[in-house]
Amino acid sequence: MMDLNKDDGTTADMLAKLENMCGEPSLLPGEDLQAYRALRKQIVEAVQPTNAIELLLLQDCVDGAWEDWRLRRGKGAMILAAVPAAIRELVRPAYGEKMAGDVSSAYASGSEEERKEVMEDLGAAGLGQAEVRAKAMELRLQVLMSIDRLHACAAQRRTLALREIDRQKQSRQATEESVEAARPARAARS
Amino acid sequence: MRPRPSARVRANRANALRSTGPKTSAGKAKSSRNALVHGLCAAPEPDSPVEDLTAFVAGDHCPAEGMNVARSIAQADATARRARQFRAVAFDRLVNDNPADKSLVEIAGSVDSVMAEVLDPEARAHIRGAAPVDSTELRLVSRITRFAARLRTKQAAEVLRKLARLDLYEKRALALRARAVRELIAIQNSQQA
Repeated sequence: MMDLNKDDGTTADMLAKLENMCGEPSLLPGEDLQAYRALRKQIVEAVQPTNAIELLLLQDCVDGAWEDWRLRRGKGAMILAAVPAAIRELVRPAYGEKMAGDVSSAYASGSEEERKEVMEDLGAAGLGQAEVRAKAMELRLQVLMSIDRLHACAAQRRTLALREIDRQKQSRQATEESVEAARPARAARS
Repeated sequence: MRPRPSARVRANRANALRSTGPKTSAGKAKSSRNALVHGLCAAPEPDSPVEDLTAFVAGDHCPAEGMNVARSIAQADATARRARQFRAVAFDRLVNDNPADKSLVEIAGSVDSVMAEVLDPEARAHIRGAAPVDSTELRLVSRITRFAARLRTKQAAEVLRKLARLDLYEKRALALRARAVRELIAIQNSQQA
């Protein structure tokens, strides 16, 4: 196995080599490659991988952490995207279908002033940001729950990778100790 | 008793028997991918990074037995990476409402635009003799809007199912890799001893 403690190269070199072989990380449009590399650097410093297998495991860990962030961000974006529909649902009983559609379209148009006006109208009816967010979450509950399950899977993968690295380090240490212990006996026999 | 097939059904069957599949190489190439679902279980392509990754994992003085195990590790790792890539794209589709099933999105979109027209007084003014929106129409609009929302939910559910499947593929690939890693370590330990 390629050992990073010998003359095979530093961890940074090996990471660059691994990236050359496997291609750049699978980032989505709008995600920052530099931020990904900075996160990887932090995890490398904390874990200090010593061989190629540990580097692969570390890569799982970095991807898991990145996915964790991506899922959180995605959940936030989905709730925000459901806000116009939530406003329509909230005001429909009082305003009727047509008016509710107009209010929701005014909010969705994106103009800050119109949004403020809509929120003021809602405030007059006793509805605030919290109620709107809650309704938006309710509308997307099924999707959000599924994303939570994906989240749990990503966290589990990351934990497993870290545990595996730990196990590998312990196992290697035990092997080295047993080889060291056997050395004097072998020398005495020869 | 089954009804006798009509003349049209008989003609269709006779025509179908004469069909011998795609003729052109482009058609053959296309139909050869008919059963392709995601390609994650396919053997790696010759120019894939598996060989380089195998050498990377095995290091310099690895026995032949260890090389085979290192190749298993590299293959499983490449599969896990591909699953990760596909998952990222599917998630992007889910969050940004990019269509996975275009037909569903198109139907939902056209329902929305028709509804907007029905509710828009200016658009109605152009329809000769159109009366203002009444309660029956509003109920209909409400039902159809809910139908469009259900279509979007179906679309999201489809992408979520795909995400869950990809998650399973990655988990399986990682389990294979973990097993191969244990094998490689055992080989190396026995070599050291």
